[in-house]
Order: sequence, then structure tokens, then C-alpha cells
Amino acid sequence: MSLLEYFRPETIEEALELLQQGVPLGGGTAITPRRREVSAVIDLQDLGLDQLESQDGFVLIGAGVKLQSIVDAEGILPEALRIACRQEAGWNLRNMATIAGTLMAGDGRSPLLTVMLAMDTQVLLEPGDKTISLVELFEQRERQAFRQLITTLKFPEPKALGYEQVARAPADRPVVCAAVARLSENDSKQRVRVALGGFGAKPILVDEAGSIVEQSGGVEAAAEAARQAYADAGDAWASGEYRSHAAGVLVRRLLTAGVD
Amino acid sequence: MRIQFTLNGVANEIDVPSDTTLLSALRSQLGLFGVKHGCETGECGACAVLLDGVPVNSCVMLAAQADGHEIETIETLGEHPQLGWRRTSGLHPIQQAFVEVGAIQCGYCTPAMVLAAHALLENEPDPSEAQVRDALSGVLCRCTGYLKPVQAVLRAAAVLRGEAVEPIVSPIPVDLIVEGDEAPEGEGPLPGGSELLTLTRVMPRIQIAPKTETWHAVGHPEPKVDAVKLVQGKPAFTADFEMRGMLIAKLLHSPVAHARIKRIDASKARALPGVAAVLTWKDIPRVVYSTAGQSDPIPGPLDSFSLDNKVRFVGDRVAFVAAESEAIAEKALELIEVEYEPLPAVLDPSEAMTEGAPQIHDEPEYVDFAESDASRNLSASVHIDIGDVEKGFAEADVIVEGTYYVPKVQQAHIEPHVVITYWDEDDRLVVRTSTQVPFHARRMLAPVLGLPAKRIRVIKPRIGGGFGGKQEVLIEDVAAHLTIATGRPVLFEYTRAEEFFASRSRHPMRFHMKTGLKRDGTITANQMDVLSDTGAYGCHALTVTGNTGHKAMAIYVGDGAYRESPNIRFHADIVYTNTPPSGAYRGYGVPQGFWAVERHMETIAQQLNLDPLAFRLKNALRAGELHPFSTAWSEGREPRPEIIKTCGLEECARQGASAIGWASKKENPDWHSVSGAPHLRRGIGVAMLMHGTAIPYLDMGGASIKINDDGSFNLLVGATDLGTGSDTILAQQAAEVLGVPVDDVIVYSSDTDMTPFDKGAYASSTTYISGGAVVGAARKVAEKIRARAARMLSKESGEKLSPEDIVLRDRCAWAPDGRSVSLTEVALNALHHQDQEQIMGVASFVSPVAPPPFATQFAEVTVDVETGQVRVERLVMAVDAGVIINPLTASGQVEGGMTQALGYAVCEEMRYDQTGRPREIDFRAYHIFSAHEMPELQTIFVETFEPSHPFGVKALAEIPTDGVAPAVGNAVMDACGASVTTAPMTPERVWRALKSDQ
Repeated sequence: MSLLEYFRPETIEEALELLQQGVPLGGGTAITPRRREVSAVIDLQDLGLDQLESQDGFVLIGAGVKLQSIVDAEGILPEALRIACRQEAGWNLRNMATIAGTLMAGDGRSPLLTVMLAMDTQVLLEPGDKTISLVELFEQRERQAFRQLITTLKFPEPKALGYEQVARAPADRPVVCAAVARLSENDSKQRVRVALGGFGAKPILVDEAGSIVEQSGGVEAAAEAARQAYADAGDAWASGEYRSHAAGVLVRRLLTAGVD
Repeated sequence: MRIQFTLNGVANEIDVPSDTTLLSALRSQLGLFGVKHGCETGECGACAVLLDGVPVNSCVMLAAQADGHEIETIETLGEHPQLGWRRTSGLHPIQQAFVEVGAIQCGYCTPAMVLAAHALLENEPDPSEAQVRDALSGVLCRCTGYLKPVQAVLRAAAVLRGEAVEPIVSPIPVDLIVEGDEAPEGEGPLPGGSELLTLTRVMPRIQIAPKTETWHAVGHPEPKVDAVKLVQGKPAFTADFEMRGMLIAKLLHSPVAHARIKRIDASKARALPGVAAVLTWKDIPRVVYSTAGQSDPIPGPLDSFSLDNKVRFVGDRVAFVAAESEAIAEKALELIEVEYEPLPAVLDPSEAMTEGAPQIHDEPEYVDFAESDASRNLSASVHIDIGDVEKGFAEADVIVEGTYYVPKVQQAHIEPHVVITYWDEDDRLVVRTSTQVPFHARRMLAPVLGLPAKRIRVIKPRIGGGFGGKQEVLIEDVAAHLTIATGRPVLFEYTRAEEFFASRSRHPMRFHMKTGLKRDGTITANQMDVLSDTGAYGCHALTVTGNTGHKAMAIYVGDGAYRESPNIRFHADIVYTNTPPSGAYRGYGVPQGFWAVERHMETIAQQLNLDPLAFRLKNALRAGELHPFSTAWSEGREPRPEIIKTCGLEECARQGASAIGWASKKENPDWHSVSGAPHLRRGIGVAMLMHGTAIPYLDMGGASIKINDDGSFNLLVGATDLGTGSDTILAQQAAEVLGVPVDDVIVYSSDTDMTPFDKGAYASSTTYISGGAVVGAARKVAEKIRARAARMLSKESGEKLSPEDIVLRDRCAWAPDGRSVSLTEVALNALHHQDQEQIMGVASFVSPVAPPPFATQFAEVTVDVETGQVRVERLVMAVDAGVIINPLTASGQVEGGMTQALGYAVCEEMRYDQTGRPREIDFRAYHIFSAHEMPELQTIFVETFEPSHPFGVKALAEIPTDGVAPAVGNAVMDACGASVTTAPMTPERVWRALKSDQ
């Protein structure tokens, strides 16, 4: 009765050839419950995509790195990223879920996606040795035609990174969360990226909030931009009015606290 | 496909279909039943195994992914310490610690927790509490509240490091009354702040009733009698049973909230290879019944059918399938063609009884009970007036009114509903099921299946949690119909999603409270009007909501003359809607009622500037007084007066207040603020509670005890241990009477062919009712032992001894002169040597009273006043549950109950969209607390001796679920002034309450 085909390629090339037949399988936490909806899975565990390294001011995380490895990377990865990873799931699932799998399957209420969006994470894809932004990945990932393999996530080492959330319970999924990253553009200029999550299919980048902080440092104006960004962010879990308010509070806090 | 891996240290090679999960491969192909199924999405963690040394959830992992890896399951750890002539290494120290500290309740998640702890301690021999909690964060437990599992891991770590650990000893009888506001030495605020939540002391604080001090078994922290089995992951649960040729059942659910089935065609499904049977409403007899597992006659309407030509909620039954595999059964469901004629749906209970509302139950077979009226969507109603309520309001100086709401919530036992049915060699139908009510199940299934009850045998194995959800004959009929149709064994197990959309839940309610008071705080009249939503079927509709008033509205009678003649009104309508049915859930209507009553009392205390504790105690019921509802209502049966014999409420308030530091915090502005965080405010709150102990003149439990050759005893009870430890505390009561260690009492529960009748595990009754039966049976056995021992000892000495001269102690029968015969000698004498007989006793117990346990619940919170987010920091509960039979299992009940109630307070809620589709179908959306986010928990027992029970016990199981939500709500109000009237207190609700105050 099983119609599912299982492949475990040993090289990237082999994996790319199989991509037309099925979907990549990271840890399996998202795909396994849906296994009867797919025709084949390509298990990536033997591809060696589990490296985690710093290089020229950038952090490179292999697509197959487990969430727990990120939590364990104390002193190597920013604290807020590790916290967001810990918020994502309990220990067992963190031992299984890969970072790329989480980026492909996660929704707007994912703390990790929100933080990685703020960090200006770049996604390295094969075939073609392409690099796209996380925003582009969020747009493309739902397309049937998206038959590409994430090999690496890359982000600049932030000068500062902060994450805050509001949830019903400490380990519950947030109804609102925010991440702010301060990134070095060059020696004299700093880039600020503000991301909001807790709603919808994907977290969003509040460009205006970042620009305001970069230009004037105006915390209240940036918070207002966050409020505007979530003005209509209402669903069964929280109203737009509430999310808008809470987004403003969290962004103000993160910017006021200096995000360290 | 062929895969190879190392399993528990041994190379393994198996063939599996490529879509097989590792969970399925381990259980079905390799027979490793320590790995449990709790969900299909990896959130509960019951299916955890170690993969290359770290825990992973095998339900979300393909078996193929394990190829080339090392897998360890619970079966690789310890084993029973005594296996005959073969030497064993015994339990692993982690398993031993779980047994010793009482970390095992239902035991369903225990193997997963033990494995996670094993993985942690392999890498970190000296973990912090935070590390332990993080290690357990991937395994949801609905029973324990995690406190004892954390203590077990810390204890095991110490043992593995070679350190000495404190023995788990019986509580020292101490007077806990303390002066002022200081906790007893060593129990003050803990070092390390909120990071350190777990007291290393395992035993709860306990103020012991004087009578109990000489007992050897009752009152002692005995390990659970099923703990060694459960900690090894033995195949003890329903789905762990294997049968040749067993079919897998699946259910087709309605996608619409209200419709007639115009056409249903199962021919394509039946033609699918591997399908053994497809049943629709056309194929089985149309027998109306109620699914509520209650005594005969069921106090509610008969409004359900196994299958009907109408569906009444999204998730209602449409068809049954039995097939050779789960995949084939699921495919068959897709092939069943159904044409629905949609009907207007009622989703809002406030619209259910309005003019022109669609009638949900229009079937001619509908059988009314009491005031039910299907034509008005009224499933039940209760109208109680005690005293002269209007006169009481007229005499009041102040009248305070308020409206409150509670949501629908789920029992969320980690083991889903699961049943196996088969014909035995005598063509009797065997129903092996995870049920709280095996005897009710047999009685209720008989007419539905067209079988006399005598041809049905219901076996209850271990239960992986129930909490009322399994007080329902919910799915047994599905498997049974399919076994009748096919002649083959059938396994039917709910998925987690089905648990959410096609199971039972706690009734959501809307309350209007109206209270009349004198200026000094004397209550002159108290009124509660309730609208309760039973969903599509009226199972437990009357009795759940009746208990809302019977308990929550009984606690405050007023003071002075009003105490002599209280004025109380309780009116409730319980209406049908096109949503999944409500039903029994631990607390049974009472947590709902106390949300309204205790939030309302706090509001009154604040408005009248009264001390919240003193105001409550001034008006609360006391020992020697009449239970005000006892003459008005008794679960739909004849009410009879009951006098409250014991009430430790005032002492509970004192002890709880002392433990939490009430006096130093409540009126202290400094304590309410958080240094460096102006947006955070601390608050402290309280709720006072009473519950009940069984249903008087109705609930009956039976027990039988027989002696064996070696002087041990078999105790057979129909009572159903669903993880609470009732088998253990029943064994303790038998052991106390028989003068033997608990280990000499072998408990078996329950099997309708083998064990005496028991009404089942509900209404907080087992310790009291079944315990009363056990004591009765043990006394009969003890009497026979004493008589025989007197003859034996008389013969030996020539001195004539009477049975009354003999004392049973230390496995011996003792004469006054110090001579004794062992119980082994007595047993051999009785069974083999002289005047042979089977020494045996059978007894039953039913009580004319339902003595209420009392409790005071305290909560400490921190509120973010900008976002409304509430963090519960600490929960302290002081309980008068009579004599505590086992401090470990009892405190486990309180910790677990408080944790469920914590979810009710802040995060648990089931909601539906405009078409009746559920928002929550998994543990991602429906958040239950996990180990690493828990507040500090503390349990205090204030013992009283209830005279209606031989060992002075009252109920304990449900009262811990009653008070956390209102205590947290009151603490939120104390913190920031926000008066939240709707549970749970989500950030948005608190924020809105804050805004409305401004």
C-alpha cells in the first residue's frame, strides 16, 4: 500500500537529481505527519550539511544543522538566536528538526523565523549556487515549482540582536514576537532590521522601523511603524488591535534596551 | 525496504514499507511496547527513543531514517529485581528513583521521561534543575505536574554519582501551625529565585490526624504497586495487546456542523482490497442511548446512536471501517461517498433556545430526562432555591453583580481513547478498553450491540490517563460493531486530532452572579444563573452543571442567622449546540463554578474593603452544619440531608497563607513592584474551595480478598486505577487491616468477569468508596484468620483463645502472651491441613454522605502591564482531604491537578470558527504546560478524620483542579487592578481588562 519512495543520497549532485521526484527530508518532524501527501522523500542526513562556522564576519549554518546544535552553540551564536531556537520546541524535537526544515515549514508564529529574518539571513540554494534572502524564500517556498535544495544559511554576525515575545504561557507559541538586529553596514554605518512575528504564514520585516532607527534613532517612531505594520494582523488567536499594540511595546523595549 | 540499525545494543535488520514510522516499526514489528503512541505530530513525546544517545520522537521519524543508527528504548534499561533463579541487575537507578519518589502516575509517558533523563545524565552527571527540566521538555505529562519526575532525575543523578540520598520516610507528625507569617524553618523563599523551583524534600508538608500515628501501611509513602511494571514500559496498556488477524478501525467524521445524510454509498470502499467491513447507519440497529458512563438509570437524556442519518457537529460519526492496515482503512474512508443536506447550525449557546433556532435533536427516539426539552434544544435544567433568596436580597446593604465566562477545554490524557474487541472461544465479546467505567460500559453496550450483558466481558488494563474523558463509552461500540460484522479482532485508537474534535471536553459556561451583603461582609443571599453548553449530545449535561452549583455555591452560606438558614439560588440551563459534546472532565462542573464564585468574592472583598481571607472564612461552611444543597439536589436522584462532619478550611487558609507569605506580600507595595522593570507588577491571590466525595446512596464499590498458600493475598477490585494510584492506596488499606506489608497484597483491577462490581473511577470516590469495600473485605478475611489462628494457638498451648484475642501484625497472628503463627502457617492450615476452606472475604461499600474535602489555593503572578502577559510564579495548595493514605500519591494528585488547572487559568481553550470547525486539533495549538515552564508548586495536607470512613478519608482527586484559575485571576487583579472575567487569562484579555479600568 505504501506509495512513498525513500531516497538517501550521499552527494549533493545525487540529491539534486532526485529533487524532481520528491521533497527534501530534514529531520522529518514536518514531513512525516504529511507523508501520505508526498510521493517521495529525499533524506539529506548523509550530505554532510551539518557544519556550523564563522567566516569573515558571517555565520554559516549547514541546512542539516539540528536546532539543538544551535541551542548548544553558547558563545558562538547570538544569545537571542539560541533563545528563539529553544522556544521553537522541546528537547526531543530540537534533536530532530533541522534549521532548513524549520525555515521551510515554519509559519509566522515561529520565533526562529522571526529572529533569522531580523538577522538578514541569506539562503544558499542548489542547483545554480544561488543566494536568496529569507523574504524571497518565504515567497517561493510554497510554490510547487520550488525544487531547490537549501545547503547553507548565512548571516552577518550581528552587533546586537534581541528577541521578545508575548504568549499565553512561557513555552507557548507567541501571539506577537519581535526581533531587532543591529548589523554593520560598514565601519561607519549600522543597519537595523526589525522583524515581527506571531501572526500569519510568515514573519514580516518592518523596513520602516529599521530605517527610522538608522536615520534618527527615534524609538517611538519605530515602535509606531511596528504598530502600523500589524494594524490588521487579526486572526482567531488575537485581534489586530492587540497585536498592533503589543508589537509597538516589544519593538520599543528592544530598541530601548539596546539589543545586546 | 530493508533497513539495518543497532537496537538496544544488538544489530537488527527489518523489512518495512517506506512510509512506516519508527514508532510503528518498533511496536508492530519488533514488539517494543515501551514506546507509546500519544500523537502523530511529535508534540507529546510519549514515543521517544534514544537515537545515537539523544531523545527523538519516533512518531515523526520514518523507520528508514534510522538506518545505520543506534536506537535505545526503555527495554534496554533495568529489569525487575527478582526474576526467580536468574540474577538480575534490577532497575536502573533512574527507574528506581522514579519508583521511589512517586514520579509515576499513569506511567504512559514514564518510559520517555526515563530515556530523556538517561540521555541527560550520560552527558551531565551533575545537572541543575533547569537542565533537568529542559531535558524533560520534550515529553508532555498530564498527570504529575513534573515536580516528582524532576525530583526523581535529581535523585538518580546523586545516586549515579555515588552520593547518599535521603530515604523516603513516612511523615513525622508535626504541628504545622506557625506564628505570624513565617514558614517553618527550611521552607522559606528558596535560594536562587525562580530558577530553583523544586524542593529537594519529596514529601509534602502534612499535619497529621492523631489517630493515624500507629498505622503501618496507611499514611506511609509506599511505592505504587504498578510502578515497577510501568517504569519498564511493559505492555500493560490496551494497545500493547497483540492478536493474530487483528483489523484496524477508522472512523469517517462529518465535515459539517449540522446536516442530514441524504445519500451514503460505501461500495467503493468495500471493494478496496484489504477492507474487511464498512458500516454506515443503514447497516446497524438504531438504538438510542447515552454515552455517559453513569449508574442506572442514566441521569440524562438518551440522544445518541452508534451511527445516525444526521450529523450534529464537525467530527460527528458518519461511517466505520475495518481493514488490514491503517493505510488501507484511511484510503477506504476517502472512498465513501456521502451527500449531505446542510441544516442551519447553532454554534452560540446563547442562541440555542431562541425562537426559531434549528432543532438539533428531532429524532423520534429521543428520551427525555427530567426537564430536558429537545424541541427547545434544552438538554437539562436545574432550578434550586434554598431559603428565601428574595428576602435575603431585600435585607442586603449592598448587592454586587457580575458576569463570568469559562471556555471548553480538553482532558488531554496522553494515551488516546483506545479499545480492542474480539470474540473469545465461547463467542463472548471481549472488550479490552481504556475506560474508567468497565461495569457501566458492559451494561450500556449490551443493548447497543444486541447482546445480553452476560455475553460481554470488559477488561480494563492500565490506563494512560483519563481525567473524566474515559468516563464515556465513547469508542467501544465502534470496534464492537466491526468485530460483530467481521468476526475478527479489531483495534480502534483515536488520533490526537480526533481527541480534540470528536471526543468530550469540559462544559463551557456563562455565569451571572448576584450577591447580597451586609456592610460587615455577611452574605445575605447568593445567586448564580448559568448557561452551560453541552454541545451536540447531552452526556453528563445535567450532572456536571448540577455539581457546579452543588459545590461552588454551597461553600458560602453567610454568617449569623444566615448561617442557620442560608439563601442560595442556583438556576442553570444546559443547551445543545452544533459543537463537539462536552462531558466529564476532572472537577465535573466545579472548576467552572469556582471561577465565577471566587472571582466574584474577590471583587466583593475589594469593593467593600474587606480582608479577602477573613471575608471568605466569615461566610464559609463549617463542621457541624448542613450541606445546604444536600436537601435540594443529588445528581438527579432523591436528595437527603447531610451534615458536614469535618472541615479543615480555616486551617488550610492559615497554613497556605503561611507558606506563601500572604501577610508580608498582600498589602506590601514594595513586593508588588519589580526592581528595574516598571512594566512588571507582582500579585497574590487566593480561592477557597470545597468538593464532594462520591455520590451518596448511589456509588458502590465491591472488593474481594483471598489468602494464598504463602500468606499473601489477592485483592480484586472493580475500581479503575487510571494513574491516580488507587490500586496502591486500596492495597495499603487492605494491608493495614491484615497486618502485612503492602507488597503482600496483589491487586487486580478490573475485569467484569473476575472482579466485583465497582461504579468506576469518577466523582472522587475510589479512596473512599472502593476503600471502604476493601476494608470491609479485609476485615472479613482478618476475622477468619484470627479464628483459625486462635484455634491453632489454642491447640498448641491448651489455653482457649478467642478470635478477639488475636492481633494481626508483621505477617503473623499474635496471641496476647506473645506467641504467634505466621500467616503462611495459617494459609497452609486452611488450604491443606485442617477443616479446609478458602479464607476469603467479599464486601461492598456505599455511603449515606459525600463528605466534602476543603482547600485553599494560593497563587503568585507577575503581570506585564503593557502587554497583559501573565506569568504564574508559584502555586500553593493546602487541602483537607481527611486522612492521607499515601503522601506521595496524594501530593502527586495535587501537583498534577494544579497543573491542569494552570492551563485552564492561562492558556487552555477550544474555539470554533463560524462553520463549527475547531481551532485546536493538536498540542501545538492546544498548549499544555511542559516541564521547563512550570511555576513552583507546593502541597500542604491538613488532615481531619472523617468518621464515615474506617480510615477517615475524604476525596482528593478533583479539588486540585478547582481553584488555580480564580486564584490566578485574583492575583492578576491584585497585581494591576485588571479584573478579568473570562478564562483563560490570555495576554489580550488582561490587556483589555487593564484598558477598561483606565
